Amino acid sequence: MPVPRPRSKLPWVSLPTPHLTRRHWRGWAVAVGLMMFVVALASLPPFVAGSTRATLMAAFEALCHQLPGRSPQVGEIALAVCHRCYGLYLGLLFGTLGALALLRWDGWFRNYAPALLALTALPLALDWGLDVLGFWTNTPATRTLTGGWLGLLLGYTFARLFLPLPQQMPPPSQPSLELAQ
Amino acid sequence: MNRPLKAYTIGIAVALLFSVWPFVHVNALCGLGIMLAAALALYLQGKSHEPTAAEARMTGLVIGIGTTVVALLLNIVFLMMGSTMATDAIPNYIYQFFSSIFEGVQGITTSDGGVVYEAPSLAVRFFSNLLLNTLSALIGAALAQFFFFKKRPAPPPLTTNPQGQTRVLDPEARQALMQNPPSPLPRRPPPPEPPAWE
Repeated sequence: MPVPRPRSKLPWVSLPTPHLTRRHWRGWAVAVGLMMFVVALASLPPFVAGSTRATLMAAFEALCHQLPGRSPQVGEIALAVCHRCYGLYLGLLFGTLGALALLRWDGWFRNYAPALLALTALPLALDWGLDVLGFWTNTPATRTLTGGWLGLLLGYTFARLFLPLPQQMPPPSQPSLELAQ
Repeated sequence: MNRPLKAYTIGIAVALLFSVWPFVHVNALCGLGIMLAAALALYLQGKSHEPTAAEARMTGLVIGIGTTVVALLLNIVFLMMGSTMATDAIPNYIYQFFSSIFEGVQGITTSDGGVVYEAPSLAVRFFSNLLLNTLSALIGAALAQFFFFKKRPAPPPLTTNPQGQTRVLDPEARQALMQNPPSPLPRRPPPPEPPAWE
C-alpha cells in the first residue's frame, strides 16, 4: 500500500508538503528577526528623540532619498525611508513570514523565476516609468503597493537562504523491497 | 587564489566600483550595486557546481561585511590625507570624495523640511552600513541562487551504505511498510466496476 502523502489543495501544483524540522523554524526565525529589525529601524524616527532620529535617518540615507513629501509620516515626522522603500521592506518582511508556507512550491517558483521577477518588478517599473514619462501620476498607495509586491518575492528568496531547501532535505521515504523481504 | 576567495575579491571590488562616480548611479538610490556584486560573486563560484544556500549566505555575508570594512579603511586613509568628508555615507563616500573635488565641498549638515540633521559619526555610519550592506548583499546572493542555477535532480529516495544495504528514512513509512509489505510481483489492475443498476 503506498504511503499516503499530504497533497496540495491547488490542482495545478500538487506537491507534497515538506516536513518542517527544527532547522526550518530556526532559519525562518533568523530571517524574520532580521527583517523585523530593519522594518523597526525604518519605522522608528517619529517615535524617538532628535539625535537618535538623526542617526536613524543617516543610517538609511545611502539607500533612500528620504524626501519628506514622498515618505510616510507620523505626526508630520517622516519615516527613515520613502513610500516605495517602506513598501519594499514590508514586502520583504511578509515574504519572509510566508516563506515556510510557500516552500512546497519552491521547485515551481524556480522553474518560473524569470517570469516571477517580471511579474513582481513590472508594476514598480511601470509606476515609476510612466510617472517619469508623464503618462501616469503615482500616489503614495501605488508606490507602497508596487514596492511591497516586489518585496514579497525578494523576501521569499531571502528566507530561502536560511531554510533547508527541498533538495537538501532528507529524501522522501518510499517502501523498500529489501526491507519487505 | 582559490575560487571562493577570488570571487569574494572580485565582488568586493565591484561593490566598491559602484560607489564611485558615475557608476554610483547604478545603485538607483538603493543597494542595487552591492546586490549585483554579491550575485556576481556567487555566479563566479557556481561555474562548476550549484551553490547551496549556505554558500550563498556566506557570499552575501562576506561581500556585505567585506565591502563595508574595506570602505571604512579607505575612509580612514582619506581622513589621514586631511579630508573633511569622513561623515558621509560610506557606500557613497568615494563618490562624494571625488564629487567634492569636482563639485565643491559639501556641507556636513543638511536642512530638510526645517529639520537640521546632525552629521553622524563615522562609527554610526559604519554600523548602519554594516547592517544594510550585508542585507543588500544577502538579497543579491539569494536572488542569484534563485535565478541563475537550475534545480538539481532530486536525490534517490533510498539511502544506501557502502555495504549495499538500503534503509527507509521515515519511521512512519517504515511502520506502514511493515504493516502492508508490498508485493514483489507487479500490481494487478483494479477490477472493473460493476454496471450500475437500472
